[in-house]
Amino acid sequence: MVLVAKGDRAAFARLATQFAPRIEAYTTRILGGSMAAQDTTQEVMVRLWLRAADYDPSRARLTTWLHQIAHNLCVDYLRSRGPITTGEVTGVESRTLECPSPSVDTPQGRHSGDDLAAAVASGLAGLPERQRSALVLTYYQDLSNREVAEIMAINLRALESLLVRARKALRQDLEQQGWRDGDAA
Amino acid sequence: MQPSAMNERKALALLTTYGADAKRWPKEHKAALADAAKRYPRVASTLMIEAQLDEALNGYAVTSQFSLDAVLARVERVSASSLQTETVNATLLPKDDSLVSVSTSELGTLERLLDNLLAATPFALTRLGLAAMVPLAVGVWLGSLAMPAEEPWWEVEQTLFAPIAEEISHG
Repeated sequence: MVLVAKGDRAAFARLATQFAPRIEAYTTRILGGSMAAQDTTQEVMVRLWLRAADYDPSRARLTTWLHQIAHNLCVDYLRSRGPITTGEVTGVESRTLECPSPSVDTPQGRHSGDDLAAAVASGLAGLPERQRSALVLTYYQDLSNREVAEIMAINLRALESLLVRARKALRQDLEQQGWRDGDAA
Repeated sequence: MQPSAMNERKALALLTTYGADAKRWPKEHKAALADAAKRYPRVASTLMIEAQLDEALNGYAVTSQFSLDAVLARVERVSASSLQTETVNATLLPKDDSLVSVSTSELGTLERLLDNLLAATPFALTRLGLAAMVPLAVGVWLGSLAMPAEEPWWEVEQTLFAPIAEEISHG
């Protein structure tokens, strides 16, 4: 980061290669598989380049700092354009249509792995932004609860409350989509 | 070390918050929660349900479409843009002391005349007063050229004031 702050582009390229895929995974799950997710990821990397001198390693890990930037950009985006629709979430649905999973005939006979992934993506998209952020940051991004709370600017109890509601709402949504306990197995 | 006992309610709350994967449980509760799952059938069944949701979540993988070239190109654009902005700010936007050092080509005729007459006078009010007087003086001068007196001024005055003089003399 010291080198990046001094304008070292090679150092920046190394950091971007290391962190951007993870940030993109986060923005994709929050914003759906739209261009907005890629655009937001690029913007996070641009902020890394422009604001490297502002980063204080004594306050947070670099990944936490980058996730905080990504989270704020995602929230700004969602507030400016409203909630994402289920049709926008990831390429999972289209991939399912183009390339059906070979494991279509499950014992339950209804869900392939891609179907279930699409159902989860759709369920996440239907969650309120704060519940979705809490669940995605804690479940997929390999961050501690304390770090997630810091990123979302809330306390641990509030984070736990969001997680309970998110998991409950997601389970209900999956059940409404036809998924039932045991289908994932 | 024997884990401290955890009641059923607390165990259920932790499972519905963090799911069934023990590596996601808070460190201080891991042992007690695992123990509670063995002791309480309801906790054990909740563990199974949460494990299925975890499995569904694990199935949602996303493929990265990140392109380093695209990011570097964007950084180049932003850097060029910020450099351009800095250049514009440095060259075109006025600085605090630039009001007295504007090149004479940007001034109006009147301003240039004043500058020649009163080279860099520090008193802005004086300059304003003089600036107002110059067109007045020019106007008077032009007026005298355009309307030359056809008869001496004192004759006009004598004519104008004659009735008043006559009134005074008659008391």
